[in-house]
Amino acid sequence: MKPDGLDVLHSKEWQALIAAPPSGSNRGIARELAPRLESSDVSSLARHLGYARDEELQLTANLLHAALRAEVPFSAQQKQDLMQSLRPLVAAYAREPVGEPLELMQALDRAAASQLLLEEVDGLRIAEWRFRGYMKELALLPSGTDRILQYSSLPGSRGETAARCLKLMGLLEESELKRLAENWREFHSLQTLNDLYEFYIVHNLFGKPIEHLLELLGPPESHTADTLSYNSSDKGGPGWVFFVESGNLISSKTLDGRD
Amino acid sequence: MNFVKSQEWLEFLGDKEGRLDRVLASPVYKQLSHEDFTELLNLCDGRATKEEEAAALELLSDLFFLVSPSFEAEAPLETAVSSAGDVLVALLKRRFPDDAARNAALLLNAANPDLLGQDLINEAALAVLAALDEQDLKRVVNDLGDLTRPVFPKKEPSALAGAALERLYALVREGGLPAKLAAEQLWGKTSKSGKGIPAPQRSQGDAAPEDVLALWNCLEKTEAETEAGHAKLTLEALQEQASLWARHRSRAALDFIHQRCILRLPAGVPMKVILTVLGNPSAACHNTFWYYAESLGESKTQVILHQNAGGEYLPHGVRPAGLPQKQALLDSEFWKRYAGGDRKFIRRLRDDIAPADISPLINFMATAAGAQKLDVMSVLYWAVLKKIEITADEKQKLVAILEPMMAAYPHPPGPDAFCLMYRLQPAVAERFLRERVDASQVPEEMFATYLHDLMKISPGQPAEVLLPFAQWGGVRGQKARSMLKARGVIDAGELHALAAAWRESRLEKDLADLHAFHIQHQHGRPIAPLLELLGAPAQRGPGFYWYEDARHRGLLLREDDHGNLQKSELCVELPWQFRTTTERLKG
Repeated sequence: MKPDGLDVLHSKEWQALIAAPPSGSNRGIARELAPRLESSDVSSLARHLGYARDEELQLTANLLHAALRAEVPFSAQQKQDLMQSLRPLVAAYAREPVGEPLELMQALDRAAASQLLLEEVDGLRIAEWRFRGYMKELALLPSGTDRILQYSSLPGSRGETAARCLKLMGLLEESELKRLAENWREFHSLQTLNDLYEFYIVHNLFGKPIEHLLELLGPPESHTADTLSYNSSDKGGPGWVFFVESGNLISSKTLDGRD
Repeated sequence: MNFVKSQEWLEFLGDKEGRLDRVLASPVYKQLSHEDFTELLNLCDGRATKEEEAAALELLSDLFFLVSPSFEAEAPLETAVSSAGDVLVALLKRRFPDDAARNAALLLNAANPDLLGQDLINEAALAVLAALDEQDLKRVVNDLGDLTRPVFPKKEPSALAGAALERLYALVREGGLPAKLAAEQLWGKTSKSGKGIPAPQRSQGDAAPEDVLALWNCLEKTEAETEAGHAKLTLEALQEQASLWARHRSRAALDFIHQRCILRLPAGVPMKVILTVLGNPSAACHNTFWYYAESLGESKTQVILHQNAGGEYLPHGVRPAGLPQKQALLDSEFWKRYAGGDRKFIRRLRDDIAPADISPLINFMATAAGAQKLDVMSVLYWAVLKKIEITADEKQKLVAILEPMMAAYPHPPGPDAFCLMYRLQPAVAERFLRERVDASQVPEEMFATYLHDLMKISPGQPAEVLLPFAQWGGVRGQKARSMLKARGVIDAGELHALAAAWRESRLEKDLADLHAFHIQHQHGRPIAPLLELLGAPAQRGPGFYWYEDARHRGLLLREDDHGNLQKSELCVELPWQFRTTTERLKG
């Protein structure tokens, strides 16, 4: 792959990659390096996945993913080997973050990745702070979304988290939308406004005539020909400003409550 | 006494200008009997002169309406008028709208309104309107107005009042001079006749009749007697509610005007017609107007009206044109990006899917292969969850595509097809799982998925589903037992062994298992037994306990005022708000 003819794991680029601070910069290096990989590099990296740890493991998976996106040829056997290497890594989801290996597996075989998460990970055994991320991973396929629906019927905070996750995906009952809208119009609480934004507005009203938003939220606290500002309970409190163009809602930004 | 041959009658007949004074001054007229009344009424049968007819009816009318209630012969007069009903009706038809006919109508209306008949007054009033000069027209309208009010000396309006009122409203709708005169009778002026009580007065806050009339004229009228469970809307009712709204801003009035009138207005009505009746809106912005009833908060009763840029009312459900016609989902850039592997675009597809996309998606799914089939299925699954309308034909077609896919269960795409089928046809999915899937043949690596699906279709507690499988050996039994424990069903011995291991080694895994298998299922129950299981906390404070593993991750327990577990949470570190000031400064 490289001018010096070395395997990727012995190249200067690889050294630069693992030496770079764990941030966006090493991803940039991986993106540049990926199109130059050859089939033998893919095999080396796939083997490396088996014994790399922590940050290096993440980088290896990221580089392979970048190669896949750059249409570096992966043979059927290589793909199969990669899936074998990735399975135990992804199956450890309940215990450790598995970000890059999971993304790579999803890129190789989305159904298999989702199935593995559904089979090997019990949402009830994941710490709360990772539960929401797990929900997001599940939501890509019907079987995953169905699992979220199952969790949402559980009592307690886990059920509440799953239910909220479904709402964040835009699945909001008409009765709850009505309740939230009435609550907002009566009390002007920031939490309610944010919920309305995240559960409904962002999914349904952008690009649509502004009347829909006005009907939902009521009269704004202030408005111009191009903007509508909604502040929370204290006059001038934090809220949202919505931008209007040709009578349609086109964008929004948060109001920090200051002038 | 034969009154119609007496000197008094001849003098009355000859004194056109002073008849009323005569009646009021002379006791003779107050002593007339039933027979006298009958003779006078007999003069009206068409054989006497018109002058005699008119004089007889004027005398009877003056006696009945002006001399009463001191008039002792009121009852005999009423009886006589009733008896002569046919004669008077014939005269009314023959001479309407002259004074004789008017007096006949008033007498009949007072004595026996049934004889007069609603149809007669309506026909008589309208049939001749076109030919009337202004003076006669005023008289007709005044008569109608009189008929709407209590007939002196009676205290209640006559049975014809409703019909007359309707007729006045009909005249209002005709427009022109009749409308103006009728509106005056209804809302604007007191009765000029001096008979009966004054017409209803319009108070300062009332809606202007001409404004209500303008709104009324914009309505698409229906011949139906009832409208959506209500009696047919009348102009009178609308006027009344508009005035109530103007005076009190009441919820009922606003609801009435909105439901019964505004929602029935067609597109293109000038918004100012509505705004004029409703008055100043509570708020206005971007062609939208809000009206709130004062009796309740703004969240409860509000009417929102929209107009287009031209100031025309937009009926409910009609909105000004937004973006160009929505692009078909399968032709959209989002679909291309999603099908190209960028999974985050599923979010846009979930949001954008519309009923018109269902058929193309199903057709595409029928021919797609592998991953593409799964992509379409994922979008259709969301359409079902979002309750987007799917026709019976579409549903049938989709079920036919899903059945062979579901047969691959538990291998892909079987589980996903099963989930979509479960949302579409739960009974079909349930029967499939119970009858076509043999648990002993489900591979180990798919067994948890199978158990989850079985819990989904089974009523009752999940533990009841899992318990039989927990007896199995091997990986399958192990998976069932693990799922049972995650649902709080754990053997006491195993729980105490796990707790002892935690207290001894403080390993993250043991703490996580203790939380998953037991603690997270104890919310609302006493916290003391949990504290005993977990041993000494790394830190405690008002209402909380913090247990920390070797990597400083840990478990936070919150206690309520009653000593019960309020919340338990595995955290990467002790949350900021529970730290001491020193720890915060260190952090």
